[in-house]
Amino acid sequence: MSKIATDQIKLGSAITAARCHEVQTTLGQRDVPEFDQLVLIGMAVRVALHIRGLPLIEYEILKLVCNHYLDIPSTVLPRILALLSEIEFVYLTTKRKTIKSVLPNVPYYDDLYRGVGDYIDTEASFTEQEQLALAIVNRLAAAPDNSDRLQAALGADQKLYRRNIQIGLEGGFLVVRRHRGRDIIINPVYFSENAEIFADHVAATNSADVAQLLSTLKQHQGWPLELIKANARIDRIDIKPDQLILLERLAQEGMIKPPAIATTYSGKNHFLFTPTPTAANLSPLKREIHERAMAIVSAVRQGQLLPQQYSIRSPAAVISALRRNLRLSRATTEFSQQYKSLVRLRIGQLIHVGNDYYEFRIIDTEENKEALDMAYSLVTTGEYEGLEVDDEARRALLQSDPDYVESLVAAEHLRQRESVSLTEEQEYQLSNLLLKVTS
Amino acid sequence: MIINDRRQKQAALAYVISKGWFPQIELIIQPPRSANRKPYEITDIDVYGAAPDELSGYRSIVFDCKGGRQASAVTRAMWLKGLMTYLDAEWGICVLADQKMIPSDHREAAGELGVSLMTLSEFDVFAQATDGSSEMPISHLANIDHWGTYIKIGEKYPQLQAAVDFSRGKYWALASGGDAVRHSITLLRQLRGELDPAKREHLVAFGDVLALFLFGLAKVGHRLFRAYLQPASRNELDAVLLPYMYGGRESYSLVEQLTLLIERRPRLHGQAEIAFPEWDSFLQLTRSLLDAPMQALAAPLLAREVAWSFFESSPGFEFAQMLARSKRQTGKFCLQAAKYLGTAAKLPPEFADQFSRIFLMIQVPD
Repeated sequence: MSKIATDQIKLGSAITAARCHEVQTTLGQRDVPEFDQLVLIGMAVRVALHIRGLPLIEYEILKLVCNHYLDIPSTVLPRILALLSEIEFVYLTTKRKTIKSVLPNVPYYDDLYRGVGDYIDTEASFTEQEQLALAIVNRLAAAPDNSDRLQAALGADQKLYRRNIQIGLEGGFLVVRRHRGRDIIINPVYFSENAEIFADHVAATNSADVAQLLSTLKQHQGWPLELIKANARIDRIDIKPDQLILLERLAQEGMIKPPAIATTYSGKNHFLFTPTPTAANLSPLKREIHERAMAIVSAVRQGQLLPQQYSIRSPAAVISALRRNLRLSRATTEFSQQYKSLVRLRIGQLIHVGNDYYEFRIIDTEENKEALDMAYSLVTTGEYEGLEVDDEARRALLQSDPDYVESLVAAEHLRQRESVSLTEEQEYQLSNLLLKVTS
Repeated sequence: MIINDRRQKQAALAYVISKGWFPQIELIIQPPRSANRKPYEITDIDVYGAAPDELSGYRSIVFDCKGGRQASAVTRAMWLKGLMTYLDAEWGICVLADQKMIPSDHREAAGELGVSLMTLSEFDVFAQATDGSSEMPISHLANIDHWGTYIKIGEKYPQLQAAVDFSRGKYWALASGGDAVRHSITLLRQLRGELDPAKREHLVAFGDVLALFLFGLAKVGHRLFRAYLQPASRNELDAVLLPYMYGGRESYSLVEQLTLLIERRPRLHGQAEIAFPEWDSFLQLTRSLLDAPMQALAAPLLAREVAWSFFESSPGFEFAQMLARSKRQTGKFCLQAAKYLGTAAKLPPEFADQFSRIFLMIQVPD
C-alpha cells in the first residue's frame, strides 16, 4: 500500500467526507477530469447539509436550487440522490425511472459525515490523484506548509504531486504564496484570512508549531492576547516565543484584526480566534453574524479573564442565558465597558439603572440570536457550525411551488448579470467616476 | 360499549378529528399507582381529545355521551368535572339525547364547572360554530365501526389483547411523555414474536402503538424545545434527553444505579450504559422533531389515521393526505418514527416498510 493510501485510512472516513465537501465547494462548477468520486461525495454532502430537516421537496425544485445555489449540475443530481438514498439520507418517490420527490432523512450533527464516511468505507474507491488531493487538503487544514516539506511528508511521486498542486491552484482549493524563497501552500478554506502572515511565519519557522498553536487556540477561542503574553501560555498550555510572535503579528498587521475591548481597569485587549473557515458560499450576512459572534465571545471572555469585580465563571452559561432570556439577570458597574462593543454592533443595549449600574439586553433579531448560537459553539466546541449552509438555498427549497422558485432563481440571475454586464460606455464612465473619487 | 349512545359518540369523535385533535374512544381510567395486583378500572371516558397547543403541548377535552333520559344533566356534569380534574382536562362536554330537557340552571351550574351541556342537535350547531364538523370527514379514524373492531381485536388474536389494553387504559395513566415512549417501545418488544405483517389487524396494532409512541415523543420534544430550543451539539442533546426519558434526573440516577448493581461492574466515571434501544437513532429522531416541534404534535393523529386504514382492503387516504400536506413535516416524522420503532422492537421489516410507503406517498402532491 502506498504512503498516500495509508494516510487516507488514517484520515478517517468522516473527515474524508468533510474534505471532499470542502474541495467540491471550492471547485464550484469547474470540472477536473481526474476527480470523480471525490466530487460526487462532496456534492452529496453539500446536498445533504442543505436539505437536512426539511419536509418533502419536489424534485423539480431541488434541481433548480441545486443548479443555481449549490453549483450542482442537473445531470449529476440523480447520481447524488441515488447515493444518498443508498445510505437512507433521503427517501425517493419515483414514477417509472423519474424521480418525483425527495424526503430528507439526513442525520444531525457529525452523524452526517459519519454516514457518508461509512459509504466511503464500503462503496467508494478514490483514484490516486483524489487520494493525494484529500491528503494535501487535510494536512493544510491544520496549518499552511512548505511545498517541498509537504511532498516529502506525504511521500508522493514528484510528477503526481506537481499535477495535483496544479489542479488545486486551478480549482481554487489550494493557494501558493512565495515567502523567504520558499513556496508555501495554503488551504484557502481555513487560511484565506491573513494568509500572508501565516505563510510568512511558516516559511520562517515550521508548520507543526502553527498547527499546534491553532489547535490550542481552538480550545480557547477568544483568549486575550495580553494575558497570553504576560503568562506565555493559553490557559495552562505553554506558548513558545515563535508562536507568540505569530499571535502578535496577527493582532498588529493582520488584514482582519481580532476584536478588541478597551476598559479603564484592564486597558486595551485583543481577543484571539482561529481563522474563520471560508466556505466558498459564505455570504456577507453570515460573515457579519460571525463577526458579531466573535464580539460576544470577546465581551464574555473579558468578564471571565479580566474582570474588575464581577467575574464570569462559565462563559457558556452566560451566552446560553443571553440566548434564552435575551438579558442578564443582574446589573453591574462593569457592563458599560464590557459590553459597549456589542452596543456598537447593534447586538445589545445598555440600560442605565442608577448610579454606575447598567443592565445588558440583547436586541431581539434573528441575526443576533444566530450570532449567540455561533458564540455558544465557539466557546464550547471551538468550531463554527452552519457556515457551510446557504440560507437562501434553504428558503428556496422550502417553497412548494416550482414556478415561484423559478422566479427566485431568475431574479438572482438577473442581479448577477446586472453587476457584470457593463457596456463599454458605462465602463468608461465608471472609471472616470473612480478617478474623481481617488484624485 | 360503543354500541350504546352510538350517535353521540360518533358525532363527538368526528368533531375531535375534524379539529385535528388526537382521539381516544372508551378510554379506561386506571389509577396511576394501583394498590392491587391487577389495576382496578375506575371508570371510562366515552371520547377523549388531545388538542395540540403551542404553549402547553396538548390540552385535554373530555366528552360524555349519554342517550337515556334517566340521569339529570347536572349530575353528569358533576361526574365529568371529577374526571376532568383527574385527567387535568380543561374542558368537558356532555352530549345528551335530543329528547333530554336541559334546564337553564343546570346549564349555568355546569358552565361554572367548565362543562358544556348540550343535546345532540345542539352539538351539531356547536360544531359548525366552532369550525369543526360533527359530520364524518372521509377519515378512517372517524369511523366508529373501526374502533369497535379494534377493541375486539383480542377476540380474534388473543395475543394482541395486551396492545388493546395498553392503548385504552394503561397508556393514559403514564405520568410523562418519556414514560409513554418507553412503555410503547417495551410493548412492541414484548409482542415481537406474535406480530405478523401479513395480517391486517396486526398492522393496525403496530400503527396504533406508533401513534401512542409519537404522542409521548411529541410531548418530550415540545418540552425539550421550550427549555433548550435545538441543542447545538450532539453531546448536549444526549445529556438532556436521557433524563427526560426516565422522568427526570432523579429517576434516571436510580435506573443508572440499578443497572450498575445488576451488571456488578464499574464503568468509566461510574456511569452505567443504560440500554435504551437504538439510542443513536432515537436521538436523531428526537432532534428531527425539534425542527418543527409544533407540527410534531399533529403527527400522532396522522399515524393513527394511517393505522386505521389497514382495517380496509383498499383504503383511500384523502384525510391523511390533507393532514400531511397542511403540516408538511408530520409525514416525515411518522415515517422516521415507524422506521425507528421497527428497528428498536426488532419487528419484521414489513411493518415499517408498509407504513413508510404510505407516509411517503401521502406527502407527494398529485
